[in-house]
Amino acid sequence: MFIKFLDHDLRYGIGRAKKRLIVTFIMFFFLSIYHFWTLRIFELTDPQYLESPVTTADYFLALIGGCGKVNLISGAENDFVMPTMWFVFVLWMQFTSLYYPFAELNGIGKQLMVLSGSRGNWWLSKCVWTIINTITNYLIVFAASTIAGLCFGAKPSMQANWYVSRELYMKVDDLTSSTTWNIWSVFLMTGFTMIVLALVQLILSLILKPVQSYFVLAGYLFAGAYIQNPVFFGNYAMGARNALLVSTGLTMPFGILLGIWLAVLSIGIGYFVFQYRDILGSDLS
Amino acid sequence: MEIVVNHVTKTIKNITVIEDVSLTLTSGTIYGLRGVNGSGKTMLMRLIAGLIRPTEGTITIDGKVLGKDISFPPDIGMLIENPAFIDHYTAAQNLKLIANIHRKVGEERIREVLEQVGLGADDPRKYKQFSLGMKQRLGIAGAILEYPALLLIDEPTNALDTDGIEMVRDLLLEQKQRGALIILACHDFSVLRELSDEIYLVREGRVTPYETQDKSE
Repeated sequence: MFIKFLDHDLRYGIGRAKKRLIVTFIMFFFLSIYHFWTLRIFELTDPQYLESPVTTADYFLALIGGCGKVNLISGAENDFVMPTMWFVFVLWMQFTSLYYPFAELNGIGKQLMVLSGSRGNWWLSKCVWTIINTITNYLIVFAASTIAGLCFGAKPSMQANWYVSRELYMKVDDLTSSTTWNIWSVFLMTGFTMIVLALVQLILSLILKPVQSYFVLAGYLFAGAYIQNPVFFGNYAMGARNALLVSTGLTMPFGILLGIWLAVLSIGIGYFVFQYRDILGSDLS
Repeated sequence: MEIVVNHVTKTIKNITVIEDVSLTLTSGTIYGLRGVNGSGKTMLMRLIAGLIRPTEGTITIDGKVLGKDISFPPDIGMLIENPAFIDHYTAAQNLKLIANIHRKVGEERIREVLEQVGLGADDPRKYKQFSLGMKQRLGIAGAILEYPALLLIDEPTNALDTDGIEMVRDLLLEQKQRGALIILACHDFSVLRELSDEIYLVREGRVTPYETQDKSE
């Protein structure tokens, strides 16, 4: 029965949502062009920045980099710069999996679930759908940024250049390398973080409402942008907060353990809540 | 099939929507629910369907406690509130989706039931292009598709013309004759009175047998 639900979710929730996938591609393709303009400014103002060839990893890191650690020392100058590009990225990623489970539950999903005789299978199928949907959208973002980079002459490589640190407001003395970084692990960690956050959002959206859960998550992500702390899990989706790039960054092994714990907790709580609470039609109409 | 609703109360947000309801329902019978909007008819159906859990009391289906031994009644067909289908599927594709859960019925039955409710099995139109009446007909088709032992039907005559109402009458009587337990809520009292073996009056969450003196309701 679980396989039947999952098959339905993949067909209906991803296969039939091609427009959203296309919008994701177009949006991040054009957002990546912003990085091209930044490079042109570097070229005009600080040509020494561009001694090494621009790579597609530079384009991707410009999207998911976020911003460096904010100085929270009392009396010191507040150097917080809103990581707008990163916010657009994470909020869009979470938006892509926001409505389908809720809409399906209030549509034909209710009938299919009753016929199947199982609430648990429905819930687990939605969890797997959320994971697959997030991976799909993340890969599309990656493809859009890579293709944009290639269109503007970037070298296809996962080796990002140190000058991106300026764009990400990373402190120069904190950098782990003075030349380049291989960002494969940053790429994987950001994707993993997106999956965990989408699962947290899934359980929130079924307890609250989708819009409310979205705002709660946005607030949580904003707090995380300001305060670098593992409690704010969104930090792990920022390249500029990753210990691979900056010495004051967060380490990935702890992030992975924390993420697994959060994901299992979200799935487990959701399973329990869904079994025993009125989620289906408990409005007073 | 025997459904025993045993002293069931349901409270939502401190409002008692169903209050101390006890009923015993058996196969081959149509039970009519009569009541004004917001009286608790749909809530009672949601409880019996397993969509919501009682605050107090139990509902048993053939001795199995709903929400404890089983999540939902086995062998159920339902049309509660508005029909919900996939917008960009045709009527036949939507029914196929439902039929895929148990695989008890095939293409032939899908064609048959669509003909019965007055929809063409080969109609290429998508669900989103359907009129309200067509959507209602498809909802009824979905409910009876697999010859369920329990049928929960809420306002089946909504948006239907006189032919459609006649079709609903015939179909529900046919389901009763084959032994289904049917719970029917309908604002059209003439339909309810004609079809129901027993009628219950639902008023402010309380359910009582309908007596002739209640006709003013």
